Amino acid sequence: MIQTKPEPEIAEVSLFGPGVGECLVIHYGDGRWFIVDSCLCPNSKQPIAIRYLKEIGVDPTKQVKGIVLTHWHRDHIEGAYKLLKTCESATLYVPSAMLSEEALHLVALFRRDVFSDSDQEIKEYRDIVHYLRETGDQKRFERVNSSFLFFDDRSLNIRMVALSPSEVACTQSIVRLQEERPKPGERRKRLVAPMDENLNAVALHFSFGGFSVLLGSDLEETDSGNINTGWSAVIDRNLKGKLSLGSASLFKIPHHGSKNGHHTQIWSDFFKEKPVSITTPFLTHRLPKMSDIERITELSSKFIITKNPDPKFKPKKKTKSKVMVERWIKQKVSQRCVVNDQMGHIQIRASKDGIKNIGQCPNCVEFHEKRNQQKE
Amino acid sequence: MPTNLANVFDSGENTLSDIEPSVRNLTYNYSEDESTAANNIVDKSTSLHPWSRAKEFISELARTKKISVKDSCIEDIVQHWSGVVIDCNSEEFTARLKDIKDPTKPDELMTLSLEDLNESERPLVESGAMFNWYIGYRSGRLTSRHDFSTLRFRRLPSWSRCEIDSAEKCAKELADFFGVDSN
Repeated sequence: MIQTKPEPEIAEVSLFGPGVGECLVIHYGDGRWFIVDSCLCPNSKQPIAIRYLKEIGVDPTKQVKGIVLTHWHRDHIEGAYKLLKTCESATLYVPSAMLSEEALHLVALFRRDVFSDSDQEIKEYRDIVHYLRETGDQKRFERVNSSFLFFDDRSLNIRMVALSPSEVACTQSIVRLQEERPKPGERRKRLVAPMDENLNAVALHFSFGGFSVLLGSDLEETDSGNINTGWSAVIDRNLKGKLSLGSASLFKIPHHGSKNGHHTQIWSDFFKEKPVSITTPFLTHRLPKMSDIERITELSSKFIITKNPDPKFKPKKKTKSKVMVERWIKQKVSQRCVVNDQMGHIQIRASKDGIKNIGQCPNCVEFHEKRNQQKE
Repeated sequence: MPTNLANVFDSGENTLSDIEPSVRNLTYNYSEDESTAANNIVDKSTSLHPWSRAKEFISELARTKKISVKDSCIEDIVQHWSGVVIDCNSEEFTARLKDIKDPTKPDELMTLSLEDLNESERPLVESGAMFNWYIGYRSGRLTSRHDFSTLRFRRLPSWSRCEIDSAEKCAKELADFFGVDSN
C-alpha cells in the first residue's frame, strides 16, 4: 500500500469497506479528487475519505472537486454531511429523485423530529439538505441521471459519466416516496429510505487514458428483468456505444457481489479481458455468499474483498463481556459477529496504460480463479 | 446497607403521605457517598414539595446508571444494547446492536429467536424496528438477587396534523431553493 499521494499523471481508485459501509476515493490526475459515497472509520467515527486523504498529504478542502452519493442507504451515506462540510470546494451529486419534491418533503418532516436521530439515512440526508440550504449556494449541488457527465477532458480521455439511474427508475423512486408520504394519525415508520432504492443508484464509468473502471455502486436488477431499470437499462440503451466508453480493466462489483447485482452481458460488453474485481462485504446480509464469490472469481483475473465476508471467522479484536452477560448471549443468540471493527482498503494506482499497482491492507481477502481459493 | 427512603428526608408531617405509594415502599441499596451526593443535588433544587424531592433524588440516583426503579425492585444494569432489526422471518430476527454501556466497542450482529420475546413485542418485529436489550441483576424486598434479560421494542408515536402541516411549509421553501418544478 502506497502511503503518499499519487503523482499528477497517475490515477487512483481506493475502495474502503469496514464490513457494513462503502466509500471510493478517486484521483483523476493533477491533484484532483472525487469521492463516491461515504462510510466511517471504525476507530475515530470520522469519514474515512477525509482521514485517508489527510494521511497521504491531500488537502480535502481544496482538492476534492466532487462528492457523489449514489443512493441514500445507510452504508453509503454515513458521514456524508461531515464530508460535504469539510470538502468546501466539492459539488454534491445525487440521483435526481433525491432532490425531488417528495424527497424534500420527507426531509422537512424529519427536520425537528426527535425520533429521526435513530434513522441514520434520513438524519444524514436531512443534515445535508439543510446545510446546502444554509449556504445558499445553488451551484454546490447537481442532479444525476444516466449519461450525466461529471468531468470530461477529451484530449486526455479523462472522463467520468453516470450509467444510471434511468428515467424510469427515477420516476419509480419519486412515485414510491409519494406513496409513502405519511398522513396525520399514521404511526412513524423506521427505515425511511425505501428498501428498493438500489434501482435508483448511480453506477459510474471512469476513464483515465487507456485505463477504465466500472463502478457498480448497489445497482441491481429487478426480479422480472425490467429493461427500463437497473443494468438491463444500461445494456438496452447501449450506453457504452453511445457514450464511446472504453473497455474497463477494473470492476467495483455491484451490490456487494449479490446475485441481484449481476448481469451477464455487463461482463461481456464492458470488459475486453477478465478484470480485476473489487467489492466491499455487507455483513448484515452475509454478502457476498460463497456462490457469489465463485461466480465472480471465475469471471475475474482476481477478486478482492475489503474484509472477510464470512462471519464464522473469529474477529481479531474480540469483544469482552462479563461472564453473566455471555451466558445470556449464549442462551439467546444463535449467530453473532462483530461489525465494522476494522477498516478494509484496496488501493489501485494506474497510468494511462493501465494498472501499475494493487495494494491491499491485511484485512482484505483475495480470491483467484486458479485454485478458487481464499488468499489472505 | 438497605436504607428506607423515608430516612432520606426530614421526618415530619406530610413528608411521606403525599408521596406515591410505590415510592414510599421502595428500599434502596446505595453507599453513603451516593446518598450524600444525591441529597446535595436535591438540596440545591428549588422544589420543596416532598414528592418533587423524592422524584429528584430518584432521578439523580438513576442518572448514575447504577440503579433503575422498577416496581419494588432494584435493577443493576450490567449490559445495555440499542438494536435495529435488519432482517426477520416467522422464527427469528437479525439485528445490529450498538453497545450503549461502552460506545467505543464495535457494533455486533446477532440473531435471536422470536420465542424469546413477550407476546406483546412480537408484532413489532419488522425491518428497521428498534429495541433496547438490558441484561443485569435484579433484587427486591421479597426476592433474592437474580440475573435477568429484558428486550423491549420502541413504540413510536403517530404523526400529528400540526407536524405534517409544518413540514409542508418547510418543504415548499426547500423546493424553491433546490429549483423543484412543482408541476
